[in-house]
Amino acid sequence: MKNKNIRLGILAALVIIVAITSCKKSFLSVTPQGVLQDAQVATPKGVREALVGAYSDLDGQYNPTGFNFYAQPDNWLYGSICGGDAHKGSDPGDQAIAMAIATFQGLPNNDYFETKWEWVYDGIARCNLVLRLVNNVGLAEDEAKNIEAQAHFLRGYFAFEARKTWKMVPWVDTAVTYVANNYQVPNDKDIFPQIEAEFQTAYQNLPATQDAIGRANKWAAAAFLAKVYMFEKKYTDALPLLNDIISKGETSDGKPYALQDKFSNNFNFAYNNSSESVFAIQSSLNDGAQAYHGNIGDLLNYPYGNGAVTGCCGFFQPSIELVNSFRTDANGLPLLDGSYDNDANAVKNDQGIPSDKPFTPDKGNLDPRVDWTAGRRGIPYLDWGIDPGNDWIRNQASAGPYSPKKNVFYKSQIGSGGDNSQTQWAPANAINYNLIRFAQVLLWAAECEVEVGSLANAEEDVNKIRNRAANTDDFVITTDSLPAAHYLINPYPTGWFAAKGKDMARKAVHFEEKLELAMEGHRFFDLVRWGDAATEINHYFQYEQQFTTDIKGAKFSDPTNEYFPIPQTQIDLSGGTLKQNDGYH
Amino acid sequence: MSQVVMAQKTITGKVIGNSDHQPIIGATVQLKGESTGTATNAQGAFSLTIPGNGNEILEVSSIGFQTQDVAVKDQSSITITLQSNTSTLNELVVTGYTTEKEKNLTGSISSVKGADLTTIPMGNAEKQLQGKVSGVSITTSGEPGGGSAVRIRGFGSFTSNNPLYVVDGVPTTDISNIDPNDIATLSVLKDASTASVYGARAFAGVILITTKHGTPGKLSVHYDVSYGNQYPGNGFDLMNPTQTAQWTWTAMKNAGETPKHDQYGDGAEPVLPDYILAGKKYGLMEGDPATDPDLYNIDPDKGPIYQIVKANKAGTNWYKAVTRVAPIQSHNLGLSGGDDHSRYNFQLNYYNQQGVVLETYLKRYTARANTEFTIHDRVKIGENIQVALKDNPTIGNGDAGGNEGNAIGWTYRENPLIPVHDIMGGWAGTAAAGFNNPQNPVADQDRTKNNEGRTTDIFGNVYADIILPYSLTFHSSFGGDYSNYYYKNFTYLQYENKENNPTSNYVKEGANYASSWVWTNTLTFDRQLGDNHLKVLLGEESLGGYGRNVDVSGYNPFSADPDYATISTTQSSGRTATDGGGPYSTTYSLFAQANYNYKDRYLLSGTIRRDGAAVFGPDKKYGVFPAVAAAWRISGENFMQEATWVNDLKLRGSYGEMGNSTPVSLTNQYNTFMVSPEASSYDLGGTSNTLDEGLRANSYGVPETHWETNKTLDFGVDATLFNSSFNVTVDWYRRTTSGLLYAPQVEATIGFLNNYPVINVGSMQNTGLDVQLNKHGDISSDWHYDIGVTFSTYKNVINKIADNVDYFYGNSYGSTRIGSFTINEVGHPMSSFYGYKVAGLWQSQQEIDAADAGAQKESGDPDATFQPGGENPGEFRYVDIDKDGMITANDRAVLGDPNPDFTYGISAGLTFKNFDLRLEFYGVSGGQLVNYTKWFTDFYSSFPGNAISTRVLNSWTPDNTHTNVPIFEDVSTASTNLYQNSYYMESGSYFRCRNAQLAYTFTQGSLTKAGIQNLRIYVQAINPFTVTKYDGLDPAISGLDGNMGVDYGTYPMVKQMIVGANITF
Repeated sequence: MKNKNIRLGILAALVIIVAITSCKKSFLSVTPQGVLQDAQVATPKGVREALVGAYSDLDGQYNPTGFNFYAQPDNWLYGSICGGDAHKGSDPGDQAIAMAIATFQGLPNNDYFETKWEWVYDGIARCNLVLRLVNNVGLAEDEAKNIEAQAHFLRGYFAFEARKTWKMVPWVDTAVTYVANNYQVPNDKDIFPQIEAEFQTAYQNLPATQDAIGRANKWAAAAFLAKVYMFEKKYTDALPLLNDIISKGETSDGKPYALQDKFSNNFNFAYNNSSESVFAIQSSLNDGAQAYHGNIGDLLNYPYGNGAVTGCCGFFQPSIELVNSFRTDANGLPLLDGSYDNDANAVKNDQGIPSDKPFTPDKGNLDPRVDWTAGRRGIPYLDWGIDPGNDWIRNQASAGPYSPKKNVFYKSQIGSGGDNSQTQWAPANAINYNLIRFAQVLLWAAECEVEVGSLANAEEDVNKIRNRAANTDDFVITTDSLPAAHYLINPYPTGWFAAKGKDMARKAVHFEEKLELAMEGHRFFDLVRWGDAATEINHYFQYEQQFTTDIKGAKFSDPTNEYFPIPQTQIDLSGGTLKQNDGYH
Repeated sequence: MSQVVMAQKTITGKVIGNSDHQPIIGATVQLKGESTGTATNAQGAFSLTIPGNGNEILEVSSIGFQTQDVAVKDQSSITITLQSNTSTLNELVVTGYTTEKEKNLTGSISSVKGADLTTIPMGNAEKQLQGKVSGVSITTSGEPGGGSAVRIRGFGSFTSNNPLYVVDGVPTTDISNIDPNDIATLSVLKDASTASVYGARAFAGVILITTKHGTPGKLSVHYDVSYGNQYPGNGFDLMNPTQTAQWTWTAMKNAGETPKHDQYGDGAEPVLPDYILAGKKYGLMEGDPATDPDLYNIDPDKGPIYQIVKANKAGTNWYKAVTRVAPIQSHNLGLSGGDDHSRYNFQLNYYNQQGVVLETYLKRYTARANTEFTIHDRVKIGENIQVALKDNPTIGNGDAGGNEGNAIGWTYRENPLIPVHDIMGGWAGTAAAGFNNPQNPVADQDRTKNNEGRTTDIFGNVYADIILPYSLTFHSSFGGDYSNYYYKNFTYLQYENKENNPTSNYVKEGANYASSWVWTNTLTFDRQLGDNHLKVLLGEESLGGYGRNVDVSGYNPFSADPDYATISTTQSSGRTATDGGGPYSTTYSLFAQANYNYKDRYLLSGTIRRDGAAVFGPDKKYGVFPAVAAAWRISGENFMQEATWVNDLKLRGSYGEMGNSTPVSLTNQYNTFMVSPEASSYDLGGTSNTLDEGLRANSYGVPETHWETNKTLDFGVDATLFNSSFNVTVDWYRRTTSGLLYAPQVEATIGFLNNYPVINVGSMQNTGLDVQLNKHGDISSDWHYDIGVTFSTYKNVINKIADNVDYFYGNSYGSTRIGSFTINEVGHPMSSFYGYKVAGLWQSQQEIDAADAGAQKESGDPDATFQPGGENPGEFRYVDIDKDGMITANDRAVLGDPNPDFTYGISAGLTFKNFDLRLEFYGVSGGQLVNYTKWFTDFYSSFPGNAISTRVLNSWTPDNTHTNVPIFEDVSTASTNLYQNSYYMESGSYFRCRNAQLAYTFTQGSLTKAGIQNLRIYVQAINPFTVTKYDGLDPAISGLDGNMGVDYGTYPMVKQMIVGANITF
């Protein structure tokens, strides 16, 4: 009896041990759930979605956890603030590392740099994924060609972002992979030739129209190619291309490129994807992705305080110098001699005046675009009511009296075009940001005409812009339908450019770009490619610090500060392959 | 005749332990020199017939206690208190998969009895362990249910240094649901020879816990109760409203500005307003028509918000406002008993610790049923199971590395002029201009009161023991953990705040479940052959599990009524749902252990374990982890017989390897891609509200990744001296981890990955010393004392991180406003502090000019300045580490680290008759902390309008130059508040009285009539005092591995006053 039990016990133990050990091979193979693997992605559907993934990176939201607002594809910090369009805004200690960049004190370990680098190279990697797969998964030839060309377009865009921000950057193609362990790519060559080639390929292979407005077409590729030429000062290459774009270009849904009737429509959700939108980042809300595609790069850039658009966060305040630039003379022309900053001409503002103390806005002649560019006290702020000045400013002493406007949605569009809640702490909007809009194409053409063509043509291009701006239907009006300020803008009189000569014509074109494209993230990069950065930015610092405390002591050092430092983390990770830009350490 | 009658006397009595006054079960009570004897029952009681001549002496003995002789004299009933035998040489210690006599241990194990843990009424055993075991450091916050960082002998890994807990044979990483009252023993396995039998999961040490089992005897009922209060302390030292206003003026004047402020006006002196807000007006005086209460409205459905808020000129102490004296109570009912065939222990616990911060608490109900059945003289089966229900809202700054935006964080930021409520009882806040953007913490906490967060957890195992021939025993155990968590949060529109006020109401709801199982089979051979003793253990173990979660959120329910707002009542367009989870990695292990000793004098042990894990690629699944140990009991040698003062002396040495696979996920060996609405989908069609689905790379597979290995060398001495009254254990160790598992960020050229592949890189080393001393003795026959000291020190150094990676920061961007304070760098300890070293404050313009001249000379640039970005008297002057004449990024350096030089614990007990007094202390010496709160409170320009620290009263001025507090000014530069520097760093040393307890145990007589066997009552003070120079709320700052010691305003350890009783029926 006893022995029987013992034997039974031993038998049971053995059975258990054998049972477990015999199944252990499969026991130690567990397939993870909810992730796609190679085989699923190497399919036509996989490639199409990988391309969407590459487009998705345009808005800077490369990381699914947390808002990547440091990436800022509209370059509000690098392009506009560093170019003197605007102050960082808010309190100086709020995003102190952005303040450091705004005063050209950004250290290589600044997370803004790191985030932007990670973003653009992630975009490139997403394009490389498409390019590695596109011809190997059985797609029809036409579709494969189109997808491949779009991937080249996008890779060109991301690489160009890197080139214009850091100058010496690595060129990364499909050969670079984690597995091949060849990802430490040197930055010892200028990559403009590769960027040109990307847009050339895209231009040659993309159709004129696409099945979706958000896709790049051949004209978008042409415009980016032209932009590259502008940065390379290849005006003779750029001019015929720009003329082609102007005469034949169309949007991906077949609308011939044209200026919109109203300047302000370019910043209005209701006019996304207009004829003026050469290529835009498609923004969206209520799309099942919280607000991640709602211009998250701009989530700090709204007026601040009670009754303002929202509680967050008072960044990106237009500069006094910028607003002064919109002063026009008795003929409705800009003060190209810089006298707009003279005490007599400077635009009257409410710096130092609380909202409950009286203030009368400026009465002088102004370019009407000023009130679509900067929120000024006493002027209607879209449909949010009259701008109360200081009450909507977080720290006036630090960053001046103005609020951003171009990136802000209308109150009436809350729900569809604007959103106050889904990020839980900051607003979002569905206003497309135009990476290139047609006005810019015209102004580049004007630049080329000045350099290598005809001053008369340049004048004509600039006047197209000024005439559009002069549309009285587009003046900001008060509740009693009167213009909110004394707007006066005119085209340059015929022959003015020729009469004043090439230098003055150049100045006029450049100044028009300052006004037309202010707060759109271009200014700093334009100043650098023109070679005007040190002069203009140091003038801005000197002038502006009379009024605000944030940029006291700031200085632009030529040529070091023409490009930003390569992020230290990447240099460290590169094992010495990446070299820091001159002047940074 | 009468003498004969007298001789037949029956003596009854009870045997209790000296430390807890609990009955000792199974103690032997013997008439000295005779064979007459008995054993105590489950109530510790005995009855013995003795001659009754008045000269009898009872010899009372029990394992773990000193044998004691008691003269009977003329007593008929007697209570005998046994002194616990701190040498405990013959006591069985729970070791990996088995038990061992303490004297025959060859490795480093520290054992603690359950009763010694529960001296401090915390809901969590790990919190009670602090200071009680050498080599174990525990940093914990005072938040109810807040986690703790438990580190055994420092750090061995970059990502995960939590010890493995094995509760009744079931491995787990979390013991927060185990009620400490249920714990019978706790063993900490510290070296490789003891822990490596757990192989792959033992790398950070193992803590073995057994829960209480029933013993044969009649039903015994215990009831333990404690009740007390917790006192929040004083909070931060901040200026009152008048000082705040004056220093606001000073800050602007110091920056060369003309002072003015939305509330304080623009005069030469600031003026405190009567009202801080009325509609959109600020800084109003009494009688202003805007303050007409009829205008008031805070219901957005009724029109625009119109708040009217009176200034609190006396000042709001926000810390006081958001904290309270909070009750804590614990009830534990235990029923145990059994007979030869079955034994049971049933425990019910209720623990309710209200937090000192409003609306935080831990409420937990647990029921435990442990039973065991002897179904045959060779077969025993049993089970241990616990069900726990838990509700534990927190403010979320416990152990996760801190966070500024929580109830404690707002208390040092919200301006004191703001009252808690507006004039109509609504919340007041920074909607009033001039106070920047903090939030009203009282409002925030109050709004969480309808939130839900409930955990249900079932944990336990079933087992069988079969005694086989040839000294073999077979043991099989199947156990696991099944838990479910559900939460619902409602975020209200915050009309009173500057920011987030147009944000809509927001509902978030979610649930998850997690299940894991483990099956263990062991075969043990145990035999004494003459002077040789051999014990061999063979075993196998497999484990796995599965878990999933679903989280949904939505916006703008029709009504904010918490009874109405659910996910399905939010607006349909903004809802999101996410899910995650899947199978856990499976592990299959085989292990063997052999212990041999000769005459208990020469002891040898060897262990080997082979683990296979699903997380590794096909060729790297298996890891083998061996260990050996040897010990020599010198006291057993003949030459030691002369040294009678040495009761026991043993030298130990061990070496072994342990593995780690924790950071590796199941996907690590595969290339994976993800479809993410947020980061890979896109509105290609320009609809502005519809996304085309897209995908992105998620990670790249590295099938070559293999086990991380740490090798530990340990030498130890155990000594019992002076008539067994003094024990000392000393261990020196060196633990080297190689092939460290780490997911190094890769250059961005391959794209951004959320999950960089975990690969084997780098190495680090910990060297340390653990010392444990115990002394006990008798001062007189009524006075007894015991004292225990633990001392632990370790030195951690990172030897290598990865190829081309010599450092990484302690957190990703954004967790402090000026970047990461912590760095993990080769040649330094983990989680070191990094930044500029403050040499002092600039004392004069001449000093600056001289430094600038130096910079100009060094650089050849006539415009160069010593400190690019600005430098003024009273601001920080940094040390020019690279001596290039200027302060650049290269001048940042490791400034210190939070690893203490040593930690120590002292426990002292004193017994006088029925009174016993226990004092426990814990100390940390050396190591630094970063008091990040200073960034907000000591620099005006960080967040103007915030509260200001009283430290600023001593800030630099031309007349107050002997200070380390910089000039208070509205200036933000590298010289003020833009970068990490040593100003924030403070000493982290402290000495804390953890516990002072005075108890009285009633002797039997009167109680017996009431059916009470034993009654002990006590009063207790927890954390009655802490000695520290640290300026923050509390110096016990934890954090995540690699990012520790940064104080964002931690939930402090608080004083508690407790009364309690232990009753046995």
